[in-house]
Amino acid sequence: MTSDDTPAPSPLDSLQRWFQAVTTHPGGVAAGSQDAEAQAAIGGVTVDAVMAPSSRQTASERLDVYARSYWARLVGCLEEEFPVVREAVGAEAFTQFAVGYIERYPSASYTLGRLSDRFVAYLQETALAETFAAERGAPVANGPDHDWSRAVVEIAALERAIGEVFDAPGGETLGYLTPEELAAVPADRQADLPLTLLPTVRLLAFEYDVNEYFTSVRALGGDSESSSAVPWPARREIFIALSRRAFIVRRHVLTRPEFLLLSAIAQGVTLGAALERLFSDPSIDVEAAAGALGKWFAAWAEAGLFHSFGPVAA
Amino acid sequence: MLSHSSFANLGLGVGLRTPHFGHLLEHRPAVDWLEIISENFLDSHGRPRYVLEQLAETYPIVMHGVSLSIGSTDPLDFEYLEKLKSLSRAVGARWVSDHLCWTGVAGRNTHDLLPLPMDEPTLRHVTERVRRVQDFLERPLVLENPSSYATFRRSTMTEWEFLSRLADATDCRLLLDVNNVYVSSQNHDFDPLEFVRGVPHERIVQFHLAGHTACGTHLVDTHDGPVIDPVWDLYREAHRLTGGAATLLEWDARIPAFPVVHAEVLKACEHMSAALPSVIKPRPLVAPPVDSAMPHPLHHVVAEVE
Repeated sequence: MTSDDTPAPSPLDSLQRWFQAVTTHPGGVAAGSQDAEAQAAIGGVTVDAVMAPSSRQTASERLDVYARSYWARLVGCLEEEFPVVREAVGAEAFTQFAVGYIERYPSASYTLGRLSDRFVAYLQETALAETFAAERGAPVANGPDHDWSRAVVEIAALERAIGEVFDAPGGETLGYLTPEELAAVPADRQADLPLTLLPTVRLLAFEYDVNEYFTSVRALGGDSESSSAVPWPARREIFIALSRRAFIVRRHVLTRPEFLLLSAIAQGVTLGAALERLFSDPSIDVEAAAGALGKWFAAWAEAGLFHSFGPVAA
Repeated sequence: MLSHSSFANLGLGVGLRTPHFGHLLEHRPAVDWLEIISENFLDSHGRPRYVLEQLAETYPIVMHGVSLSIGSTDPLDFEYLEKLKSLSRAVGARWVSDHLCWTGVAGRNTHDLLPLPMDEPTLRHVTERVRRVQDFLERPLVLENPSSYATFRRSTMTEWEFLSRLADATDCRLLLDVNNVYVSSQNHDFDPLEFVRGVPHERIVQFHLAGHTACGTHLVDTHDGPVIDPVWDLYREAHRLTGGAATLLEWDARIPAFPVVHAEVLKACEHMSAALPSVIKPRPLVAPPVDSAMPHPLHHVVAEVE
């Protein structure tokens, strides 16, 4: 480098914007240094003009350490948070999704716990099937009977919800409403009760049986060869309640009437109003549902869904 | 502000990591103190936070962060700082540390410890921000020298001069990571002993020890193995120069059972009174190609589900 190549010292802000643009470009350091973002920060300079070499590495090779670790670190975090999605679509396709997601929605939080905030939405807005069907050898892409993209989005939604429940305030500290406390409410007062769910409860409805698929893939303990033999989620409407007990996230399969009733309760209406909504649904067998109520509530309380008869304390 | 006596030598500690939660709760081993990655607990209302509160009843806790981004030109994140302050009070943290680095700019976070140019404008910028953080936290900040993999042409001073002047100007304290000194010395062609001898020893309140990975042309701070002999040599000299300070081993990848990690940090005892090195003999950087070597930090907690 000649002295003519040496730029005047840039403000620190410009230097940091340049460094970040160069080391987070998905095409690598060379592409990053030519990209508009880097050029806008410090225009017309080469990597060699800004960064110093070492005795063993060029300036670009040294920046490449940061560039490679940026993608490896963030893609690795998404792999940890969505292991079943990764098994479903295959490692290569997952990496493509993850890189695309990070490029569109780079982390803006101090915590990696927020990295995947928009991952499910990203999968929804991205055409997935063509990318992963080839790698997995899936016989068809999207069609009238099987929307593979939808199944993947639903697996991701389940895994994301599990992550949220893991960190939410839960009954371990807020307290649970026990089956006994619930059973002790006099029959003539039950209809007026506002029953409060814990913040660790998520009520999820899926078009595909991603819960069974989740169980099957996880049982294989990350053995990709075996998990590729796990049948795809069947197209079967399912309903799941997530809860947490002893700090471990639990999954509970619900019937459709159970899901509808719990969803109404989650909206903060009284138990009487929630039941009225359920029984007014023409698809519900009112007699069967009414006969099952005692069993449902006992099971839900046992599962740790309820906090109290009033609002959750701040 | 806390007085210097608040930075008592806590002895030999270990970084609190998720795989060791069960062992620590059940056995309460005789480790002197624990250091947490702050970001793993700031927003937890589940098991990590519960375990921390339980362990804080037995062990002194030090908070070590990776997202302060003290060198960034973005505004300081006071929501983050408020959470740090709140957690430090809740667990009675002995001190709060982070790194001399930046992690992102323009509203982004790369979650990496990025290098700063070592020059006068940067020193002024970081000095001003350290003062503001200390005022907010109402305690001295402890800053660590990170491992780095690149340097700027515009730098006009060494990292140890930068740290010394920053500490003098702000009264902040220093966390000397002797593994990072070694890693950076090999990556930037300087004598690691010069670094250890060049920092203000009276401001060092903590040491970090860790393993790293040789990648042929450079070293990467991976925290995935035992401490190598040249790093122990540096520690020996740092211990002599400072008279000793709280010492902690970081092990963040391929984490073995807790007794293995604890035994590694206990090796420090052998180096506290041993003969002093006059020259650090670096290990060759020759190694099989390692494409996956990833620098610390990796602070991500995976949910437990049935």
